[in-house]
Amino acid sequence: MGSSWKAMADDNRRQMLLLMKDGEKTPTEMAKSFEFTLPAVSTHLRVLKDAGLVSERKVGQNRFYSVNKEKMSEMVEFFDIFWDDNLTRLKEHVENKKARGRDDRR
Amino acid sequence: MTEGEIRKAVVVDAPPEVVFKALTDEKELVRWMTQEARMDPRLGGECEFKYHWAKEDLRSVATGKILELIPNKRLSYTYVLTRSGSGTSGANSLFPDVTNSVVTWILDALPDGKTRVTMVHSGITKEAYGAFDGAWGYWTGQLARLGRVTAGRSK
Repeated sequence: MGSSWKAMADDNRRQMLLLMKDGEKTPTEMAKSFEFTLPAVSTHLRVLKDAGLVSERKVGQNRFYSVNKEKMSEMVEFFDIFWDDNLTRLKEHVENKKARGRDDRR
Repeated sequence: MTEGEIRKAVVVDAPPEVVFKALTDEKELVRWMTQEARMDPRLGGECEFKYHWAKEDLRSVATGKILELIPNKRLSYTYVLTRSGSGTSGANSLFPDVTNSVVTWILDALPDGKTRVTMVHSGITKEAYGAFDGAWGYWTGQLARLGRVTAGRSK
């Protein structure tokens, strides 16, 4: 199973998750919402599916995707993502500060 | 991983003093960690972090007391997360409550003036979660914030 953090680290995939949050979507519907090509949507969906964040339902030729609520509702998952994000921002903050050097000291 | 414990590490290209200041200085905390921060950086001192989530009326406040403080090396505080604001009632809340947990920051100086930053969030128990419907609120908030940051930069 792929990392859910990695799956959610991409802005487009987060937007797709937000879209699916409101209900099942087909890849075509998602492609329309984002002006993506179908292959691009499929690639993102595969990453999300591998991470267990979305579920797939097949009806005939159609595939419907929805958010895997169970996975998403794990509390530890929340903090896992929360702290990953915090550490990334901390790193950016201190490294930017260093790069600016003395100019920043007022 | 211990159950209810999250451990994260990152190598930062800055010396421990710079990282420690980012962790303890109120003016710096609001630059990366949260929208409002209070920090009394001494043993037993109080800290408070206010997170504004997606909607204006949805907020979380983390309050704590400093348990350990070794300048440029280690910082540990209790972390109690409470929802606030009018939008937080109801069982379908998107935001967690945590009644008791501890956040510890460990800084290890590395060669070339770098620092390994390790964060341990422990004591996240199932009982403490309460009604919680996932990370959506968090991500929605992040997206909203990202939008604001981008808008700010383009000025």
